[in-house]
Amino acid sequence: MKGLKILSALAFVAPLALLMPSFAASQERSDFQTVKAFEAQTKTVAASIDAVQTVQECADVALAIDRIQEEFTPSKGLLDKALYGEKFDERLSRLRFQLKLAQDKLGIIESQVTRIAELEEQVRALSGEVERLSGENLKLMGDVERLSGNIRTLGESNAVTGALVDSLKMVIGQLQKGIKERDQMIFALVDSLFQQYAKPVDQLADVEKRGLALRMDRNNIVTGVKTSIENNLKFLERAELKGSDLAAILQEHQRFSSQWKGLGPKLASLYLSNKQKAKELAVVDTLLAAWSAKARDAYWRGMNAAFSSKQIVVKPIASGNELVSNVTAYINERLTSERPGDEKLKEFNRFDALWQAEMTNGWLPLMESRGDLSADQRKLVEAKLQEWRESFEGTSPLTYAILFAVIVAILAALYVKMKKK
Amino acid sequence: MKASIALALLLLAGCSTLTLAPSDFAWPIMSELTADKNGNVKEERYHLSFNIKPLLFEELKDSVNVAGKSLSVIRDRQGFYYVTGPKFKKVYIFQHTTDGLGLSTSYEVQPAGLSNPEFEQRPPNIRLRSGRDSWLLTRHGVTTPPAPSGGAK
Repeated sequence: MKGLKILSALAFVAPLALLMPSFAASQERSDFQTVKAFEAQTKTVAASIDAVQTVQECADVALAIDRIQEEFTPSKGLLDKALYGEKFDERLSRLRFQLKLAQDKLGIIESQVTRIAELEEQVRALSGEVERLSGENLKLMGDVERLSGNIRTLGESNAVTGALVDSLKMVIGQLQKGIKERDQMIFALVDSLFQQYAKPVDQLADVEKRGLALRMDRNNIVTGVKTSIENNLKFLERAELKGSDLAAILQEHQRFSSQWKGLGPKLASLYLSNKQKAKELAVVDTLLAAWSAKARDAYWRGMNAAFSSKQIVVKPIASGNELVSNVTAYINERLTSERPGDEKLKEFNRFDALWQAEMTNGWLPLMESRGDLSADQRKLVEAKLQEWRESFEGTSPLTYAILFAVIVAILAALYVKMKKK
Repeated sequence: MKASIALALLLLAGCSTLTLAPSDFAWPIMSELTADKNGNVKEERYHLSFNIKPLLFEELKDSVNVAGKSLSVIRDRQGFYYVTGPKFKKVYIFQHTTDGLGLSTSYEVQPAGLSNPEFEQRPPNIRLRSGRDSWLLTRHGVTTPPAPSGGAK
């Protein structure tokens, strides 16, 4: 009986999924093909109405009728003449009435169907957005490759222009934004799908679970998540990324991971009996682990690159402790070195500029948020920098005046004492 | 004499054809008719049936393997039937006669044979589509040279 229900859900959703509008195709269709397609689609919908069992299925049918109307309205004139026994609008009204009867029979309220149909429309729009962004991101990745190649080639002959580097930076920025947007769309899409079922996944009936799983498949959710991670991984591998880019990617990774933590178990419960999907989910977990490892690597690589890009030779850092000890060692070395004052000041200024620009507002808050750096450790390293800063602050005229007054007082006291003798 | 002339005029008036006009015999959409083992095809909607063996012999020189053979048929406003089929080189124009459908005319449209012909109403013409090609037809012949589908409206 249970098996039969699942089969009926499969038999229900699959044909409706084929009723997606294809405007390009419909423009090419002959009159005969248009009429044939309309007849076939309305026949499929009529059969689906006979099979509806859940509110989601009713919403699917309602949307399918809307899509048929949308797709065939341009051919209304032809259909009015060509349909035998009824007109275009009459056929659609008949289907809607048939659906209403089925809903009443199942005790389903119209507003529920409308709400789910709205969410499904949202899913459709988001799905289109994901597809659009995927295409754009792919193109941007190609642009990044091309520009990086140009820079590498021209770099050999020292002919890299500022404009070329700026172009690359701009494209990287666009790509980063595009990847982030696509990630957000995927999770928004998943939310819209889950919202159609007012219960947690483990409380859904089998037929509902099956329907939800089919909706997930129809929108390629698991593949979409995989693509998101793969794009992020590819982006992370770019050598041109600067500290600030990497910090943003790491934040994105944190956000994505926590969202997947919420979604992964729900999907696992949904695909409990589907070995193929369970495998795909495992692949997502593996990819996410790879992203974590790469992100962690990039995290420290990015921080070390921030120092090395300014020719500041701090020993490689791979933990909060090492940040404190290696930066402290570096500053101590500078404090005790026997070099001219001008050189030392220049070295400090270079370090301080980098610290303010990239560490104070970029890396340090990120390290703290990830638990890699405690507030005490931050205070320690900042105190060391302050010590270095103070080492360049000269003695004030007031100090000289006080010193002078003290010496004068001592001399005066000595003089008075000697005179007494 | 006068009386006999008046009688002749009266007789002529009585024999003149009564015409109901305007009239429109056009089918909005073509029909795809498939032959049974005897070569008979049937159009349910318009209650039309005829045998296609002579036509298949005329066009394909085969009136034996007729079962399952399909034809595309449409009727224009004047009531002429346009008939063709896959692998046909010609379009055949028929009209009602007391003995059956009588050939009015036929003309070649695709020397290599039509692939999947479809007729459409494009008043005052009938459009024939086959693959990417299309032609505008009248009962006398082709009015335009072959054009990509959608080009000839």
